[in-house]
Amino acid sequence: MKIKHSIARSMRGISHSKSGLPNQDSLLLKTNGCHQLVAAVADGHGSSNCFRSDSGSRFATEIFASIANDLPVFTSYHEAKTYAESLPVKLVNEWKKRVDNDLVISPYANHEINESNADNPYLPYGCTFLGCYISSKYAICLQIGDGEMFALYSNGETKYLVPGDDRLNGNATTSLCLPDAEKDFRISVIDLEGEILPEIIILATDGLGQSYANDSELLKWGVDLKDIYNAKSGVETLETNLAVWLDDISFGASADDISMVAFWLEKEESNLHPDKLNTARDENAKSTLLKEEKKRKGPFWFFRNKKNKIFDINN
Amino acid sequence: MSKERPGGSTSKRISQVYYACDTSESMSENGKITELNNCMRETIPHMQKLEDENPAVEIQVNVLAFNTNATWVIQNKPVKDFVWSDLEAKPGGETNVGDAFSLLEMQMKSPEMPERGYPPLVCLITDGYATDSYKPMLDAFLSTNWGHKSIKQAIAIGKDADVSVLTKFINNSEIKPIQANNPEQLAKAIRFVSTVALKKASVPTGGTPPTPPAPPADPEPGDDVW
Repeated sequence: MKIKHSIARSMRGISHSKSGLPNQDSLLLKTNGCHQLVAAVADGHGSSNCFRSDSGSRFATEIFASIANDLPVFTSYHEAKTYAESLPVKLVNEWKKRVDNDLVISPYANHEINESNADNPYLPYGCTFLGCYISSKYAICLQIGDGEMFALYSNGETKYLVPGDDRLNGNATTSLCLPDAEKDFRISVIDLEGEILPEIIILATDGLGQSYANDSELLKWGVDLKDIYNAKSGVETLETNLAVWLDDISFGASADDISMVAFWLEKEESNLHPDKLNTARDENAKSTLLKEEKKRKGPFWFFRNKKNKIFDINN
Repeated sequence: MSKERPGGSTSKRISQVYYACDTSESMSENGKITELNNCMRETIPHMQKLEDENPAVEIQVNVLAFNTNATWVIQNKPVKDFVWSDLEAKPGGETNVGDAFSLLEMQMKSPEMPERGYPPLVCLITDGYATDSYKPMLDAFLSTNWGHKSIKQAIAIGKDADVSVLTKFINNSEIKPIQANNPEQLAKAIRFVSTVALKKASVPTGGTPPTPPAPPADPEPGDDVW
């Protein structure tokens, strides 16, 4: 499986434009070649009790990027699952450390201290988080709180990537700022070498989902993105239009900030899978594999190779 | 096939509010039904203002009246177009609250309920004791997805109201029935449910742990009429 394209945008909602609040969302998209990708969106609560949630969401995406830097290329589903299950604790601990450091630099002013943040100093930084890490054969998805993470699969179905959570009810959400937040994460590991594969994966903050009355209307994003991409034969049109679409949706419906990352995956045609190269026993075997790959790609293939992409929007 | 913007039709987020109003014979005593009508009429502009201040939300109003039987008076009416129609107490009408719970249960299971809407606000207003075996109907209502998730409030009109039914209906130890023993207290209770509780249920706050709305302040001093 390789990463074909990716797009990302974060737009401030009309409610925050009116109130003068900055965009409370943060977004991260980082690709490393065709086989590794880190994507995340985080949504700061933005309520009066969560007056530093723009920083909270930024910390969350930055920490996920840093954790993902150290993740290995998984060789088995079991290994990927074990890593996935360890991520919430790491993420929450690092996020809290980051908040603690921020509070040393900028402690709450007297007028900012109230009963809520006296009990829980992390509350003003409260945010949700959705992250996806792709490493060649496996995708790890993790989410705390509301927001949407779904995929259009090769069989035409569009499905959510992590289990639902009954506690996400209206305005109520689980959050990185709450006690035992690591227990509130929903996690999944997707085998990217299975029969039915995700073709497009979408992560979005809840400003998108709140703009639709039903799941079916929201999930049309998957097939529509595929159709538009195929019709216009390029990702550039999508990238340019994404900002306009998100703005339009926020203006007409949720009024909330909306951040979205979408990326396209396709089956790896190459014989030179990184795992194959890594496990080639001797230099001769490696050399043969490299020659075969060069022949398959044809001359000047490196000019066609996409540059690594880093897209880091922090409100 | 290509189209201009991905995704289906967008819409404002729907916030449904339900008033289940007792119209049994006893509501005709001491002007209770008249005061209920007055209070409901007065609260509508406040609900309309709440919607105006929150352009991402569409508030829809539903009213059912129950005595010996329960019937819908109005359903899914956008608050901006909502006009209160006076309810009348039914001579000889009993307080079959179970019938009201059955109608609510059917509504909560209806495909018309928006999957991604706010949890509904359901307010039960009564002055008496249940005259039917309401428990199975209440349990059925509470077992529906939206019945369980709904924010439930209850107003007891007068000292004869059966608070235990209202407490079971609310099904949340942090929320108590609101006692209204005179017209001023009834006005205040209805205003609280229709503004503070509704705002808590449906105005975007970005998200925090679920908490019930703070109860209204102690009843205004005044003579008990009911």
